[in-house]
Amino acid sequence: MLFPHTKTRRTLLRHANPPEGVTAHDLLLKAELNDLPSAEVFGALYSKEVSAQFLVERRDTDRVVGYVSFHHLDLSGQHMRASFLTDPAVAGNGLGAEVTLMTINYAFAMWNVRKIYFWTTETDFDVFRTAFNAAHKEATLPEHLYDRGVLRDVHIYAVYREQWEEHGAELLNKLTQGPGERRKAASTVSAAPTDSTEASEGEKS
Amino acid sequence: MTEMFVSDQKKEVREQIEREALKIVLFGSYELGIPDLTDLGEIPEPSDLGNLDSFSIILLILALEDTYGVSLLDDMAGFTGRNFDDLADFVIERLPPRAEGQK
Repeated sequence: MLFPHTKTRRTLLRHANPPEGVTAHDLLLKAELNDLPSAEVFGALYSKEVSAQFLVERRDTDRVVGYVSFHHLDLSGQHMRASFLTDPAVAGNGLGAEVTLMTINYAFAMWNVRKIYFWTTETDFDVFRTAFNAAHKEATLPEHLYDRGVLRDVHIYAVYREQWEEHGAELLNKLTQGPGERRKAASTVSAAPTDSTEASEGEKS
Repeated sequence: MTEMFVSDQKKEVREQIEREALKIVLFGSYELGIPDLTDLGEIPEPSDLGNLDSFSIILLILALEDTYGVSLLDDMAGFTGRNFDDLADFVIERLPPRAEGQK
């Protein structure tokens, strides 16, 4: 059973609820995020058919450093799309990876989907680099998206629930706990009786 | 004498960082379930934080927290260093003081 974490020790996902007439893109412009995609790209890849959306905040400063959205939910096909962005100037030292992990985990925890798609115009998307090979590249749509006078390729990646539950969720759990809590949790697990121990104790009685 | 002691500690922490970083670059894929070591011969030995991607940095910080039992991640937002020496200083600042000669 996955827990829908919306915070780690240093990062928080806060529900974004823009007032009538204000878009999430407007909120991010106001927060002065660097490298914000154009309104066209944002509208096409991040904010259509949205089921839930969050602003990413640094917990030490409360500063908005990114955005996460969940959209195009298809319960028949059991898949959905998720998108996220972070400001590289203020979200370094692995914070982008934390947001990625929370995004994937939240989708699998909250919706009955078997895979999550990420559409991106970036070819070297951080999430899909060496250390995190859980994402499968499923397609490329050549010259698919109009962006400021240029047609950009769109790359489609997917993360599967089975793989996430087996390997990814544990890493996110570690990010929500300090070293002391992790050590305590590990010693509790190692001290718990195993099935075989319980069976042999049952046999004795 | 004290300078030498500090320098020894920094050397130890730096070596630990190098070991963990290399392990992550080589075996980080195992951590997340898909071992792919087909290009193993081409993986450069990491010598700088710039050699590590966002996920590798997280794995490195968690490993150092477990090794030294101190919290690092919470303060990482304020860390602006780019190399392993800077990270070693960052770790040492958070370690409890130890007596000279203590291993």
